[in-house]
Amino acid sequence: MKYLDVFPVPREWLSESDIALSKTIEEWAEKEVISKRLSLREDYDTLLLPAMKTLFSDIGLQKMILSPDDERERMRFPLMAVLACEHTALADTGISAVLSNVLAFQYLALSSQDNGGRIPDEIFKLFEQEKPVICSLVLPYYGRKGQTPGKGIAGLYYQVDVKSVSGGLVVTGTGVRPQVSGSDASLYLVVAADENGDPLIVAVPAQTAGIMLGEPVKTTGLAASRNADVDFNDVEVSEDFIICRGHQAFIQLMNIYQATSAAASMGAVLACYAIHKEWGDTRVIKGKGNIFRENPLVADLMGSIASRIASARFLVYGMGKMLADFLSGEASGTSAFFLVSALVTHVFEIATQCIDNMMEHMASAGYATEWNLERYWRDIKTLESYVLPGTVSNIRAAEHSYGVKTL
Amino acid sequence: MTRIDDFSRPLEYLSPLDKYLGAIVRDWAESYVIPFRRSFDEDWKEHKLIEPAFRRLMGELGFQRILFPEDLGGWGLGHSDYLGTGAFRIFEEIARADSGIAVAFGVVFWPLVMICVEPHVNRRLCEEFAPMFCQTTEPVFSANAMTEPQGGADIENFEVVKGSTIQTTARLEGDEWVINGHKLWPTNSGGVADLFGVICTTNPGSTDPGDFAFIFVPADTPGVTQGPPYQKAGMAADKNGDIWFENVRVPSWYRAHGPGDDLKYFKEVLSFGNMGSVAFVCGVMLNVYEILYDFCSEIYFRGKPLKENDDVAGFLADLASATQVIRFSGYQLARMLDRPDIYGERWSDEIVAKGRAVKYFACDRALELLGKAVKLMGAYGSDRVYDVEKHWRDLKIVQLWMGGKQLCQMEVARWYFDCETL
Repeated sequence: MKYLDVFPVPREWLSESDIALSKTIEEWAEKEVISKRLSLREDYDTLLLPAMKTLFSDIGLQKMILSPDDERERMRFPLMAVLACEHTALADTGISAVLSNVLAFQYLALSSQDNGGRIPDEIFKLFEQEKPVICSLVLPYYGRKGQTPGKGIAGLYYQVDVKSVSGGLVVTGTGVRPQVSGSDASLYLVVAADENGDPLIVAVPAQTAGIMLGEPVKTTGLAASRNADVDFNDVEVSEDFIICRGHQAFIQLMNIYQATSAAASMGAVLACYAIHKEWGDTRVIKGKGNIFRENPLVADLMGSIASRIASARFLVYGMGKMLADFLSGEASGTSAFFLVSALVTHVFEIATQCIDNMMEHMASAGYATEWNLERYWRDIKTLESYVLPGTVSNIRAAEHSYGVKTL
Repeated sequence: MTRIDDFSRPLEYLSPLDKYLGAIVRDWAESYVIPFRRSFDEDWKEHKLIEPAFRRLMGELGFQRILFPEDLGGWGLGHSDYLGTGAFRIFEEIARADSGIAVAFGVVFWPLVMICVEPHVNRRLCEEFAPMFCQTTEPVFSANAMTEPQGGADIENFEVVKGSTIQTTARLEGDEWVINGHKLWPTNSGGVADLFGVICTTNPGSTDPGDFAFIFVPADTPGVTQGPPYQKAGMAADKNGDIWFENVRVPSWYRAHGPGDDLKYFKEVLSFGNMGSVAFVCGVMLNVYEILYDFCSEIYFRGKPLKENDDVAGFLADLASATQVIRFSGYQLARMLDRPDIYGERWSDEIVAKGRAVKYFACDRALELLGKAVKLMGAYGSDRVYDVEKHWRDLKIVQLWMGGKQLCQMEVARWYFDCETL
C-alpha cells in the first residue's frame, strides 16, 4: 500500500513498533478482507467475524496494553491506537469502529487514576480468550419525550442508572443504544451518574443476568457492528467493575473514542483514494485518449481532495500525539479535549466530503457495490452519526475557545 | 400545524387536475410504499415488495398511459400545456415515498417523450407502442439505453464528443435496422424493461449529427440480452444492468425521427430528465422535513425538544429554506417546459443548460442538508427505521446520473459564459 506514503505523517512520532504494527495490519487487511470482499461482500459470518478474530485475538489488538512490558510504550498508546484504527479501516471501517471501542476500554483502564490502571481479573480473562472481545460503549444520548428527564452531561442524558447496593452495583436502563455491536458485545462499558451526578464508568460483562437484547438495528453501514438496543433489567455487578469516575475520566474516554473513530474515517478515505486513483488512471473523458485525471476540471477537484486528505491525516496523528502527551503529563486534559472535539468534527467533514467528491467523479461506478467505494461512503456516514450527534462536539470546542459556560 | 403542502408553489402555473393527481399518488404512496420502503434494500434483486407498488401505480391506476394520445388509450399529457408541471407534481409525490420508484417511473416516459410529445409526435410509433402500455393493468417499463462501457457520460456530452465515441451501431439493411452494441446502467434494465430507446450511430466515428440515431427496440426482440441487476448503495427500486444487442433487427420506421431530428429531440429528453431530477429532490426534501418535524419534537436535548434549541433550529431553518427554494425553482423549470412559446424550445441549449443548473444546485444543496440531518439525528440518523438515511443514499444517485455533476458544470458554463472549447 505505497499510496499511504503519498500522504505522510510525522515519522518522528512513530516508533519501530508502530511501523511494524502498521505493516502487520496492512498485511491482515489485504489477506483477510480486501482479497475476499468482492465475493463475500459484507457478510458478517464469513468475512467480518473471522477477520476480527484474526486481528483482535490472533494478532492481539484486543490486549495491546493489557500486559505491556515497556511503560514508555504504554504512554504512547493513543498514537498506536490511532494508527491501528486508521490501518484497520483501510480494509473495513466497521471493524475499525469496533476496534475503537475495544481500544477506548484499554485506554481508560490504563489512564484511570481511580483504579490504578488495573482491570478486574474477571474482565481481564475475557481478553485472554481465543475469540474477539468486543467492547461496546454506552454513552450519554438524546432523551425522549415522555420519559422522565434524567441526569445528563453536555446536554445529553445518561442512558443507564447505576445504584449502589450492598457490596455491588445495580444497572438499569431501557432501550439503550450502544455505540457498536450491541448484539455481539462481550462487554458493555456504560457511562452513568454517580450519587453526586458525576460520570461513573462501569464495565458490564454481556453474560450478566438481566441483559436483554432488542431486535437488530438496520443501519446505513458498519456491517461489522451488529447493533441492537439493550435493556439492562436490574443487572448486578461487583463494585470492582467501576473502571473509573469523574469528568476527567469521561473526557479521556471521549477523547480516545473520538480520536480513534476519526482515524477510522481517515483509513476509509485513504482506501477510497486508492480506488479513485485507479479510476483516474484508467478511464477516459471526452472521447478516446483523454485520460480522466488529465482533464483540468477533474484534476482541480483531485487536487482539492488530496490536500484535504493530507491535512486531515496530519490532524489525526496530531490527536494521537496530543493524547499520548497527556498520558505522559506533557499536555493538559482540557486543551486535549478541546482540540479533539474540534479536530474530530473537521476530520469527519473532510472524510465525508472527499468520498462524496470521489463518488461524483466515478458517477455510477462510485455508487455500485462492485467498486467498493460506496461501502466506505456508507460506513463513515454511519460512524459520524454515532460519534458526533448534533452540535455537541462544536459546543464542546466553543466552551474552551470562546468561554461558553451554560450549554 | 405546518405541513408539506404549506411549502408554496406557483399556483397559477398548475393544471386543474393537479390536486386530484397529487391526491391519488399520495394515497398510493401512503398505502403501497411508505410502510414497506425500509425493507426495499433487501428486495433489490427480486422486487417482491417493490413490484406491487409499481403494479398499482402504473398498471391499475394507469399512470403508465399518461403520455399517449387519448384516442390510443392514453391520458393525452403529451398534448397538454401542463406536461411539465403535471409531471413535476407526480414525480415529487412519488419521490416523497421513494425516489428509486420515482426514477424508474419517470424513465418509463423518457423514450416516449421522443414520440408522444408535441410538436414532434410520431403518430405511427405511438400507435405501435400504445397498446403495450395502455391495454394492460400490468406495469410496463421502458428504458433509454445510452451509456456504454468505454464512454461514461460521452453520450450526454454531445456538444464536445458529437457522437463520435458511440460504439453501438445501427446498419440499415433493406427496411430493417440491424443493431449491435453493449450498453450499461440504464434505469429499468437488469431484466425490467419491455421497450428500449437505443442510442446508436449509423456511421461509427462520425461527428455528423445526422448519424446519431434513436431507435426503439422491444426487449423481446431476438438478439437482445439483459444482464442481472447491479447491487448498489441504494435505490433498490431502480434496477440497472448490462444490455447486449447482437444483430438485433427492427423495422426501419422504429427510428424516432431520422437524421438530425433524433439528436435535436434527444436534448428534450435531457430537459425532462433535469426537471424530473429536481422533482425527485423536492419530494425527498418534503419527506425529510416531515420526518424531522416529528423527530425534533419528540427527541430531547438540553432539557427541551431538539427543535427548541437555537443551534438545531438554525439547521432546521436551512432545511426548510432550501426545500422552499428548490420547490419554487423546480416548478418554474417545469413551467418553462410547458411554455416553449415564452421560454424557448425544450431541446434548445439554453433550456438544457438552465435545467442542468437547477438540477445540480438542487442535488448539491439537498445532499449537503441530508448529510447534516443524518448527523443531527445521531445514531437514529443512520438507523433505517427513520428513513432519512435512505433518502440520503438514494438521492446521491440522482446527483450522479445523466452524466454526473461535472457534465452539468460544463454545460452550464458553456451556455452562460459562451465557452467554446470545453
